[in-house]
Amino acid sequence: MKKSQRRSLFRIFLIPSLIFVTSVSGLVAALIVDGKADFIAGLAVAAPVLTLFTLSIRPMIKSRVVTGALKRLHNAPAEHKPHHNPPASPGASGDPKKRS
Amino acid sequence: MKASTIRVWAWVHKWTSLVSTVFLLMLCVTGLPLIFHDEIDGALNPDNWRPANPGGAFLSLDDILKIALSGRPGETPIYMSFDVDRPVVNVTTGPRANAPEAQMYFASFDRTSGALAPPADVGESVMEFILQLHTDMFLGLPGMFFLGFMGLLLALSIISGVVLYAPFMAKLDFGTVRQTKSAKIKWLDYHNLLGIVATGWLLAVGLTGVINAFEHPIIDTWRENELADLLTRNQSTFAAASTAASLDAAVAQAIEAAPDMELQFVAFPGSPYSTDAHYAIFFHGRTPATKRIITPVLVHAADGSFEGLRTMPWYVTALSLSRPLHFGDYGGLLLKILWAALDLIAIVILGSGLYLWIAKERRNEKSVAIPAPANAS
Repeated sequence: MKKSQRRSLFRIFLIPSLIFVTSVSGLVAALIVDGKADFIAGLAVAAPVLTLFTLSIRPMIKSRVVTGALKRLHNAPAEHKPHHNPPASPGASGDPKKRS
Repeated sequence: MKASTIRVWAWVHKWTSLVSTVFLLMLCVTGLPLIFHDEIDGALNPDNWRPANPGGAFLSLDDILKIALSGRPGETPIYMSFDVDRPVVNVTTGPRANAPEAQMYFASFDRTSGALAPPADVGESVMEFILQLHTDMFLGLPGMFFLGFMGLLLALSIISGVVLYAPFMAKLDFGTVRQTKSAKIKWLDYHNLLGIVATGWLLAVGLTGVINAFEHPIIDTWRENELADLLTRNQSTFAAASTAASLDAAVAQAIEAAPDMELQFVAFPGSPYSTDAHYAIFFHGRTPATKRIITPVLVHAADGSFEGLRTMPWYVTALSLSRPLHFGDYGGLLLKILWAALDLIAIVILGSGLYLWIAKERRNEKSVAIPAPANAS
């Protein structure tokens, strides 16, 4: 979740409009086309379902990316370890695993 | 958006949804099995019937008609229709061509042998029950109009929901569900998200449902105006046909007049869908879009000559297209599965809307029940 400043109507409705146009186009296209093209029309109709699926797996992907990044950071050789945060006290390091 | 404008749209959203929710839930639940009616019918009533001579030559339509009439002495043919996926011809007969439906007799014949075949819709009572519940709740035309009105309320509810989406999402990213907040906020986010992504499908299904609710008046209007016009124009030209020409020749004439179309049924001279002198031969298209659009061709019953072809008016075309768009049975199994998924999403939207309203009412009741703190001053 990310709260930010008020968004314009364009920003609020950009993705919903794209989903609307895609799914309605798919509904109409499936009426007109036949055979293999039906599959493509079906994918367009699936836009709402695919969006929900993407949104539902996004947190998992994010957590995996973060976990992976942290692991890489932990396993990296000492000279490559970034030290964005200066040690708060003598002996402390920038390694996130060592931070409480 | 002004606070007063939001309040008006919120009022529209609340009442259009509340009035229609129970009926829309019923429509969603009964609509779910109807999406897969072909598969369910096939599973419940497996069609074990096979033609006597699979791959063999077909008997002529005149021969089938002769066989049908030999089993119903003294009767007149009214309609002849053709099964889509099996070599079967269905013949409807009656004491006279314009006999009421109760006096009609329906029989199916194997086109390869002329033997009787079981009707295609035998044992489909479960799906028919669900379809009727979905269509008119067993109330006939008033039931259809009532459910059509519920469809209009759904459309209004969707439009008002889209308008209200903007102020709700003014400070949130698309797809945000505030999982750490209260259950009410979490379900509000789910309601908004599911509603906005399914708007296109919900509007399409809702509005086509409204058109379908007017099926009977639309068909009656077509019959009383367009078809009657074609029939009376030809009725006045020719007297009643005394001896019928070959049915096969008449159908061949009609096929010539309507190439690239599929033969659907024949209305015999004197029947409600024809004149006293003509075979009215009805065709439908071959693509998903034209499959349900029928085109009548009149062929003179005496000499098999072509008399006229009338394409459907726009309102019947709209009705024909709204049927597949409503039931989702026009794009194969993938589309059916998607239709079912979107139907389930619609059920969650309706359920969450109801939950949010109940939660709000409870909160209002609580705030009324708790007395205001006494003023110290």
